Amino acid sequence: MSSGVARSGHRGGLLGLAPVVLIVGGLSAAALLAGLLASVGIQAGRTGGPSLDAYRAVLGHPGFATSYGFSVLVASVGTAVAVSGALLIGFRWTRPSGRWRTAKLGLLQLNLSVPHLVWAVALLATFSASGWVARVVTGLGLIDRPAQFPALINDRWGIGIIAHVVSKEIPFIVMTLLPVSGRSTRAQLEQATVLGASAGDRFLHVYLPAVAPAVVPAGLAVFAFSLGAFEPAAVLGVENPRSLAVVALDRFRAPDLAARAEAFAISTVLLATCLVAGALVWSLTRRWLVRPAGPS
Amino acid sequence: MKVRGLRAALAALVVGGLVAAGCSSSEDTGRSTPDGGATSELDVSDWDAVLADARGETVNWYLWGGSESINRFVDETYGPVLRDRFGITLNRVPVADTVDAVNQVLAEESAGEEQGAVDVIWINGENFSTLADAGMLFDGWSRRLPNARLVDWDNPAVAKDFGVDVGDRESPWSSAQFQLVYDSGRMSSAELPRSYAALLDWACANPGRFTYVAPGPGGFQGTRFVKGALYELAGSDGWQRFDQARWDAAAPKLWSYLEELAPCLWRNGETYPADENELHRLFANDEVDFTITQAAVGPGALIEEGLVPSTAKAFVFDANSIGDFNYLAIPSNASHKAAALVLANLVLEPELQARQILPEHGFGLGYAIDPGRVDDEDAAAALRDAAARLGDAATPPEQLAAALVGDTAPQYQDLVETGWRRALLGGL
Repeated sequence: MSSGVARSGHRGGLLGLAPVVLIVGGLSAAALLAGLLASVGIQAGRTGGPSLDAYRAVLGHPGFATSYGFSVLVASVGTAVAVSGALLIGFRWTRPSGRWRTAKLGLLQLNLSVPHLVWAVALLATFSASGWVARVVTGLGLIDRPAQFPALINDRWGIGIIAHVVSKEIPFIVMTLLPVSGRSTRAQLEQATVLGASAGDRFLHVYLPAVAPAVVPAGLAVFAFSLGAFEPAAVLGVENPRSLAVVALDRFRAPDLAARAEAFAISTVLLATCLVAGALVWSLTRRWLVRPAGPS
Repeated sequence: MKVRGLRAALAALVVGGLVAAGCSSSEDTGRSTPDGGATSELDVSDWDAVLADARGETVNWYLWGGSESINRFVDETYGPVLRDRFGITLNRVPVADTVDAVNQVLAEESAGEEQGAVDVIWINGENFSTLADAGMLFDGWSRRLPNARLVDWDNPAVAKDFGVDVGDRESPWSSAQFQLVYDSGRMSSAELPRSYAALLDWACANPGRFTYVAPGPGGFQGTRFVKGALYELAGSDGWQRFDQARWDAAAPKLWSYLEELAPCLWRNGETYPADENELHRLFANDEVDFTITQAAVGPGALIEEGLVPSTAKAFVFDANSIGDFNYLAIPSNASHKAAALVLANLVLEPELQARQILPEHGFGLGYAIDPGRVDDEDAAAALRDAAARLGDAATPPEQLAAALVGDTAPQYQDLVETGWRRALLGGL
């Protein structure tokens, strides 16, 4: 494969992306605009000019800090563990190992196509106090009745939600790593080994820079999704503290129409958090992401 | 099951989002046209014309889908009759909470959609008042249905929904009343608490064995439990009229009672079941000793479904058991109003009313009609017979009647729900 083909493909690709960018971008921009307007009180069934009442109500609520901290913590820890796990798996698997590679890939892809909600319910049915693990443990006589099973799911610290992020997103991140850790990366890793680099050095100075352009966006996507998705948090979370995504839906569904503005204010806060996180990660990793042009 | 509700909520969110995206330009057109179109010419008093209009239509009935047994009852009871007798196709649309259907209608209004997706909503309380206030309910029909003569419209519990005049905008389907459920295999009826004060004593003597559904959208049974406590602490009269000052005076008493109860609850009251199904699961799994039902048959339908032990029975406190009627309403932009009218009339048929209360059919809520108004001797006998066959799991009707009180004005709903969350959990 010549690099010339790759380059012209790249240039055509940008133009080729235009329809997708226009449609997806247009829809997203319209939704964002509607959400922002709704958060300042401009929405169906309500009259009057824009106001920041919803933001005041949300940010001024005594429970806001806890819910916000909980959401960000759960998303951050989940993303960090998922990214680390995926990097370790990807680093191990840059070496081809025949048939096993196919088997392992199959194993990793097993839950990729499972919807998040279904995966969350599967975790619930497995690990909750009325789940089958609790029943097996009871059957073995380790506890007297299923109710004594520890709260691994629906727990105060969001362990259930974090477990969901980690188990669902590791396969996703590994999938984004595999294409970029191909032949040339393996060759560089081999070269580093020949030159006497330790495994740690090879990971930090060869592997990480090579896969950063894939793993950083993937990690950000996982963070944004974990922060904003309500299904895992609703199924695996507790009533207190609730993740902000759950609160947002709750306020959206409240009978009082004024509460809807609060739902959109919460969503805007989450969006701002994602943007800040993105900027932070970009500034920390840009030396890997922005590289001098030239054939790889 | 919970999953199903979440899926419906997701769908509602997606729909809401899409519609919201297109809303900003149509503020003016939305309100001016809801009664436009041919459907406004429907004359309910010419019932044959309504039936002719309805033939061949599909009626989209939005209703709370959180109970598998109710879903099946609706499909199996009304679906075949509508199809065979009236040539109407029933499309049951399950929602996680009725407010999702309300949001659908409001979103359609703001998008200027005159051919709405919702033909009928199973509704009452704050959801009815939201749509009534928004002027989004089809009016002038419910008391003119052929079967409306079977309904006791002079009963304020029927004619007022959470204190709001029903007018001619919704027609009753069934009645419900708050009850607790215990397992007679685990405890005897003599041990049961019969008031909120006694419940506090019981809960603290049996730590971790009681909890209730977190009040909020999807948790209306929990809201009702909390309102019952409000009635016991601050008197049950007069809550049908909204009075902010009275609420401000009573709320601290309510929160301090619930705060005292909290440490004795399941998981020390640090969290609560999010909905009725989660509470049923805790009850069935022997994690708590009580669950909640609103059905005339008590847990009868839940037992049929295998969700709770067959030894489960319902009971009420001696007072302050909130009960009400629930209704069918038709949005003013409904696309199939004729078919919706036929459905609303059909659910009042005495034979189907008799069917709906029996536990083996899975619905189990009470009558909407007054059996005394049924002239047909066979139908009247069927109603009497069904009422006598509610089964062991049901609360005796005289105890239900003795404890019955009405629900509050709709304005209290959000005060109770958001206030509870703030006071009990300190959370958003």
